[in-house]
Amino acid sequence: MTTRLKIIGGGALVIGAAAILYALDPARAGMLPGCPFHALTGLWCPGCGSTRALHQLLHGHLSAAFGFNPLAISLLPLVGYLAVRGEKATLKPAMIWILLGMIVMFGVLRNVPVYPLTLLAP
Amino acid sequence: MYKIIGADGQQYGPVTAEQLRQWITEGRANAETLAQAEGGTDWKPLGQIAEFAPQFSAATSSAPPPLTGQPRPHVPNYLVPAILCTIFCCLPFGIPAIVFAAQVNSKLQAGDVTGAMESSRKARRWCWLAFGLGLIPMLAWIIGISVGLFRSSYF
Repeated sequence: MTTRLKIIGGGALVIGAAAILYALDPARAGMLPGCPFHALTGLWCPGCGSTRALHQLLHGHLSAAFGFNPLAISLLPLVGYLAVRGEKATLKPAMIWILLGMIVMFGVLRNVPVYPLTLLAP
Repeated sequence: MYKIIGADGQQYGPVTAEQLRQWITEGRANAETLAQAEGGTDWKPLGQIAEFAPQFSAATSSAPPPLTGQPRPHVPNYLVPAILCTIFCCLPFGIPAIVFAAQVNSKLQAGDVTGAMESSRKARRWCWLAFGLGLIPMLAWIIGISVGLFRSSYF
């Protein structure tokens, strides 16, 4: 019963969030709040651009989505898989450590103001 | 007084030994259920706690012992909310949540159930913290727009 509630609640949340992100374009000023970390520090965090990326993805613009946040888009299938499989999904610890390394590295590299790396910034 | 981990992975208690025996009778807890004596730090299966062991031997004496060892308990690692908070909320607090999620799996693999549960609790705490801190600016923003503190270019 609680599992079913979780599935329904989780599904409703995902659909609700998708509807909002489809309707509102975060790239237009004043729409959705920006990243608090970016507002405070001026640096790009690993998540910066992810709502803009999702908005583009929902409109079918895959390359624009990648442009805003390639990491968030790449991780979506994994997150979906883990969320659906629940406790049946067992990731090897090494996988999670690698994932962590990727996120941290992405967060560092996208702040480097040198040409190919600037592509990683939103 | 004891705390136990229920079949749903949540903590229950502290409850009296009396209450716990009642739970065992009702089938809410069994010999594999992990319990922690109040004031103690390690989690042990009820079947290995002297106070409860007789209850299981009495109940299971008519059946042969299982052939395989006890199954590895499931300890949630909260990896999904940790990733979501890191990528879609606010940086600094999602990262430790992922670290603790990884620790849960590392410790489980090493057979350290107590340690894994400790990391699991920390992972959950950091997820909520990250989520809450991501939510505050979001709420402030929505309230700000609705009372006309800022002007949205869209609404």
